[in-house]
Amino acid sequence: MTAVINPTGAAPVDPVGPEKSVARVRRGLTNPVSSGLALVIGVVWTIPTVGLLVQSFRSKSAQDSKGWWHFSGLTLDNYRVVTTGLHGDSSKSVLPFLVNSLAIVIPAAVIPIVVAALASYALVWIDFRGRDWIYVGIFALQVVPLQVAVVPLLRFVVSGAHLGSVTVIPKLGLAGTVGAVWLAHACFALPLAVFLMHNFMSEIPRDLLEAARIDGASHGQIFRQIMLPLLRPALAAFGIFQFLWVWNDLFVGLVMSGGNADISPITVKIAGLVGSTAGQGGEVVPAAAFVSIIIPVLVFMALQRYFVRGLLAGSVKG
Amino acid sequence: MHWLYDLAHSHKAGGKLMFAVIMVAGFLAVIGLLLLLIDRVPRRGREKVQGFLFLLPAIFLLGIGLIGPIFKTLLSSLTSAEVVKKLCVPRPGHVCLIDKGGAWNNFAHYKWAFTDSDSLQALGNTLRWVVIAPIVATVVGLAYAYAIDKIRGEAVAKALVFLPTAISFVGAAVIWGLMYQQPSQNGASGLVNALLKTIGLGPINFPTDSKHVTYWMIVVMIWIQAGFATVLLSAAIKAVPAEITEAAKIDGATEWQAFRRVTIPSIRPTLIVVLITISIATLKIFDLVQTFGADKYGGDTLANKMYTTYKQAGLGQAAGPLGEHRSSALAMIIFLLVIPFVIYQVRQMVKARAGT
Repeated sequence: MTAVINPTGAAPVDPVGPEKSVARVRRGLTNPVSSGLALVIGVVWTIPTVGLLVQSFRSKSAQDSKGWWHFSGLTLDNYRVVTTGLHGDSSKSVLPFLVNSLAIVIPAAVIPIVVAALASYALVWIDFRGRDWIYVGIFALQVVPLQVAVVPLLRFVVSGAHLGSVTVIPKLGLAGTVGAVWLAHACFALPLAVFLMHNFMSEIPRDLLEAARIDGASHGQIFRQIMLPLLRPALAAFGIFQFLWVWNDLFVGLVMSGGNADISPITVKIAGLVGSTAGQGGEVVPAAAFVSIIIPVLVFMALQRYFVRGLLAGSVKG
Repeated sequence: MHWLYDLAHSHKAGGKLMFAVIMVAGFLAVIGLLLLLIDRVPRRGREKVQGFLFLLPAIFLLGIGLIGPIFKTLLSSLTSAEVVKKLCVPRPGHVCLIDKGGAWNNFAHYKWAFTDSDSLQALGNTLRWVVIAPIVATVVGLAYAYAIDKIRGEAVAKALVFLPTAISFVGAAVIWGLMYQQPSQNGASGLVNALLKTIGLGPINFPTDSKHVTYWMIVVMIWIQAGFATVLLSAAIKAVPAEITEAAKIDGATEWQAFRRVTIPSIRPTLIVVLITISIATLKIFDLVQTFGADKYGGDTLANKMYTTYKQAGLGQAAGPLGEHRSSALAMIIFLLVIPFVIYQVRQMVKARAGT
């Protein structure tokens, strides 16, 4: 997954009017070259995933002797090994890591959304000097690669922030817990979250807010009672973004968990399985990988609308 | 607070999830208190203080998560590491510390990064990634978006190619590990090698092919990113008024000429957004290399080298956390490489804001 920030900040346009789309369909049916190209790319892009799905249901001997397209030796054993465990051995079970991923993804999605909504409210609706510069500054922070930020953040989680011998911020007690992982994700997601929220909030009519102000509503009340309900589409768009990003991340999970199996997300487990089963036991890897893939894929398919809307927010201009 | 500590360090599924829920609830409670506080700000200079309070949580998280770490990493990349005598046991009257670290060392870590053969290879590979992956993924996405723009079942066609976007790089590495599988003694083989065999080529042992492993991984990256390119470019193509391309064709332009001279210039801004976004992701490519284990076969990249160097902290030539300082230098190099792309994005955003 890529964190996407589109710089041009405009609303997505409704692309096709009805009469144009009729013309398009007519034109398309007469063009075999593009239909053929579409078919080839579509098939080539789908086959690898189908291969993994089929392979995950095949026994070790079948995997050893024939390619997956023979559909031979179908069994559920691989899935037993990676879920409940088989013959009392649950060392290859990925279920605990699914739980870890879930325990990471919930705070990692909620915290930056709320923090970014608060920040954008100030940046859009409260007048103070330099707010545009603060916004541009936050947007520009996406330049910081995780590689630069993650190790110092780990140090902070373990020992707090110090200037010389003075403790600026004490340690928060999150070391060795999933908190270390989601805190990192929450911080790193903020530039994108602020950008998306700022975009959506700028489109809310100013009159609405001014009317509320005249009626005597305070900023706190306006934020809770007017902004949050209106922001629902933005919250959904960012929520699915962040869910996919956190669920699929390996780097942050690997560094922040430090290899502690109690707090490692599922990607760390899968990557570990790939390495540790290179010689033997590799027959369960496709099943394990499929278990890890299926959740984001289902979420993605169910909420694709919001995801695409988030992607398009601003990228398509004329 | 013992119960909370126990919950945080729980080995059980229920405990972990409960901890997550409690943390979220606690966080929301803090935000609620903040909102109450905001409404009780005294009148003098009210807006300014309220604005600051709204920004406070973001400032805190950005401070500990991004701004602070930039300076720490920069400092660490420019200073010497602590060096301890090898196999020395600290005891009274005996100093194990050779260099207590933290001294300016004249870019020694950067010099290492640009002379060490392994890290030079990682740098070279990263440049290969950035030159190839974004362009090919964008071209494939553009071709596909244009091809399916006119056919029935366009939504399904788009979904098929978009699906890998939801799959993790780790998952993609497993999927392609299977595609690339070399023939086993018992006859099984990955699809790619099976196809190569039918046309009398191969087999290629892709993941350990030390000359080309980078390119085989770039194929996976393209597979992942093409869907993203397709979705954005497809929307851009639809935004081009059909009348313009029709008019070009009536004036005698071929399909290709209309595409080249009318469609491409119209969607240029989106093309650039797509290229830049994929380029930034590619510069930080880590998961694929790590899962493929390609660093052992000459397929290392900067981000992966940064991680392995960090992990070796204390095990390098000199004992001491040298690895962490060197990995900081590598991270700063990635930082420098990303900056031009983001400067472009920021300029576009400022321009767009000025325009509206």
